[in-house]
Amino acid sequence: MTAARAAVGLATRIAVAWLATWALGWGLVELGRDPPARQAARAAARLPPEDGPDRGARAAVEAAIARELGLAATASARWGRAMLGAATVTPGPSWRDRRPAGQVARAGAGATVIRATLAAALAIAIGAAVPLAAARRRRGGAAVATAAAIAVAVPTVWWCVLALATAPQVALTSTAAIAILAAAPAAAIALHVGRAVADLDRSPLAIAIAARGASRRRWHVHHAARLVAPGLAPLVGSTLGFTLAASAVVERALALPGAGRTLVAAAAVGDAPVVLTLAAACAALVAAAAGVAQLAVAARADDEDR
Amino acid sequence: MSARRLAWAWLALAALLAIAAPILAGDRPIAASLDGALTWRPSAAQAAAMGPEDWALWPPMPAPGAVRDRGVLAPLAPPSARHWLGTDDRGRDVAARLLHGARASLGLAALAAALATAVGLALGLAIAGAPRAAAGVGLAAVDAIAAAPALLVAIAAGALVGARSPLVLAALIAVPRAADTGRLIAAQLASTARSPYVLAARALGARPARILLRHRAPAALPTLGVAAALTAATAVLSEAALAFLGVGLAPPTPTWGELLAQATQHDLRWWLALPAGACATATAAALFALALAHRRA
Repeated sequence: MTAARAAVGLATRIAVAWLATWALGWGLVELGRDPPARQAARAAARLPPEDGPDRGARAAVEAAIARELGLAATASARWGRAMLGAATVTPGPSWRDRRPAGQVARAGAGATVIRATLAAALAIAIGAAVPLAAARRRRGGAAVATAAAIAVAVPTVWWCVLALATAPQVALTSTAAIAILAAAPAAAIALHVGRAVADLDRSPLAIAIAARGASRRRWHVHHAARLVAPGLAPLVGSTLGFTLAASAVVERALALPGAGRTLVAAAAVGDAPVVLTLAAACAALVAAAAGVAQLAVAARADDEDR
Repeated sequence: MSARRLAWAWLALAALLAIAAPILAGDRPIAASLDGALTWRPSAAQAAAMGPEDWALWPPMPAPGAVRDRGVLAPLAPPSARHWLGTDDRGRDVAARLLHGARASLGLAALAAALATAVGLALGLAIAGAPRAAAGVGLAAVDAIAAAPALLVAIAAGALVGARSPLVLAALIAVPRAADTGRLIAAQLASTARSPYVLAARALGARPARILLRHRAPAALPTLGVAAALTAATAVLSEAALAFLGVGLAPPTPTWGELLAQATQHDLRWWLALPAGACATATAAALFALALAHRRA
């Protein structure tokens, strides 16, 4: 595979993820209980109460907001306009405060992406290393599997509560956030790797290598790890997806600034342009991470074939 | 006791408590003797009109929405003989909310699992029965949807749809899981395409649809069980996160996540954080353990 072809493939995946999220998301806006103009008026907190004295005021506010935001057209025209905005990466104004949705979404996004990426890398490193180390001890694999099965079931909120309860307040910085974000994916990866290593331990290859006098350590570090590594590639995207989504919980619990808090604040008032911008950006990021991991595995396989 | 039995035991206990929640924690008597006649679950009006000769067996815990205890507000009170797990920030009984929260959380998990399983099975069968090109497109689509994080989808789609009913929330949690289930079922069915019994059925003249439904589909049932357990576990964890973020089930529905959210808002009162977190963790761990045991089998 040439580098140019790989780059085009990767760019296509990212573009499809971005546009598909917008297409589906705006479809949900149109299918919502209220028309988009009413949703926008509610997000801007400009909608008079339903049981207010002036019943015409509500309709007038909706009409004014529909004109202001270009929501007065038909549903298909609105959808087309939203898709045009997505294709040109100009998602339009926020329904809440009329600032560009891209600008609102960017606030704190860098910190969130760095935290989530570091957490994903940490999760993969821990999740791969722990079962390999434990497999060298008798019954170590079973102990790791049990611990990982419990750790993966702990809600992110509870990790945060436990961290807040046990760690001194000063320690609860981004480092703690990264550790919390990495906890559940690390456990899931440990389960995955542990099962793969347990299967490999019973394989004819393992028996042949042991028969040639290689130690269990050498088998796990030099052979099993290399055989298991390609299986981790599909987990890169989902791990980053998990850490990005869980960052909303962690940022709220630890009072850290970031895109997760922006998303929840926008979701709470129904600010569709900001919600869609952030969701589409996350989808594109996950697609990019998954694509890069798959390309890395493919390149390594090509090298080994040569 | 094996992990599988322990998991079943916990799930059975949690389901039993969830079903019995209105009897164990409510504002109506469990049974009463009214004018000499024994009445099962009399109404509040009947209970209020009881005479001096009548008697009633009351639930051990108050209703989850009751904010006054004998006319007195007692917010954030620690556990006592009256309130076994203390009270929350509005003086409501935490044990009652935990029981009724089990109803909400387990009900949501069951609903999400049922939806994801039904849609996933249909998707898997459609992909397995489709021509090769269409199956490729279908697989690419379910791959893309399955890669979406369930929590993010639920937050974003919930905001866009603008509804917070249990059915909508279960559907939003189920969407990525349905795609994942569909992918697993399609892969399982693909592995049976060249099986001797399938070839034999084809040689006997059976139609492709009949072969798919009668002969190949049963091979995917164990995978379906694993996927359903994983979906239910994901739903329990997602519900806790959504309730914590304030975008879960509409208040005042009691849920485990809502109790955890209260704990972080009120100096981490342990009687709010510990039981709710332990229940959510135990339920998700039991479901994960069942999925793992099923997969090994």
